[in-house]
Amino acid sequence: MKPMKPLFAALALTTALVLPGLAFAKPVTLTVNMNSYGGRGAYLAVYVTDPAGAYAGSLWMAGGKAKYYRHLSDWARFTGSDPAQVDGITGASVGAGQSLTLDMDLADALFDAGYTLHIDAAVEDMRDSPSEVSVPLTAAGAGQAVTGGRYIADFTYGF
Amino acid sequence: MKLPLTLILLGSAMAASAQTPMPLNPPAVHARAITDVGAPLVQVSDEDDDEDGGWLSFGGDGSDEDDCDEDEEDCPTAGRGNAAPAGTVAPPANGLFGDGKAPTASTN
Repeated sequence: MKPMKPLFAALALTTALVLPGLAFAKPVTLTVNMNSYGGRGAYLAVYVTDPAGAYAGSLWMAGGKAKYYRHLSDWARFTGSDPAQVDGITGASVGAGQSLTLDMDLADALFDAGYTLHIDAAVEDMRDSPSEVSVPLTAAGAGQAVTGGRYIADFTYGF
Repeated sequence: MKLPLTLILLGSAMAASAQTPMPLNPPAVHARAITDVGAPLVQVSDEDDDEDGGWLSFGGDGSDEDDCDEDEEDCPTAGRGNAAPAGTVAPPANGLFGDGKAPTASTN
């Protein structure tokens, strides 16, 4: 049997290291129902923290003007309000009484592993609402609505 | 009204008065002529005219400290611009998205 060439060995090794984080993913739907709070469109930052409570990454930003991101204060504290954190995952703010539905493929490794999904909310001329939703990502939690606070009526994730 | 615009109006009023015998017509709304300086200076409304359509007191404490212009040094997003909208670039490689495919959003 011939010895494996170094290039192939390196490729196999990097593939083995990278694939576990990428290969196992599932389609997930996040639904945010807003209260009729009587203000303008809400900015929402949807992000994840790891089991140690450290910022793991962002899933969505509702609201396009970066200069208001500092009002999403927990997200801003983790990221320094860095717009690059939400490049390619930014959409419009969400109006009072509206429902935002997000469809995405999330890594399986996020579920039942101590990760927590957070949603910060902020509205013009109204009080900021950091971590209005904080929900552990578990398979058992899928489909169960989590009540929000000031602007968010409820939040649900499902497979 | 912001100071630079006020200065421009003031300068224009003084220059016009030196070049033409015709008096300036003060704006019809929110205007008050000041006639004791020898020139028809005009004070116009001092209402804020934020081009973004408001959001000066985002956060609700009523102060202008919440107004964060991107060219201000103390603005956290100064010089960094806005985030790229979904669909225009790939999502961040933060390891959360299984296949790197961008999320999609709908609102109703």
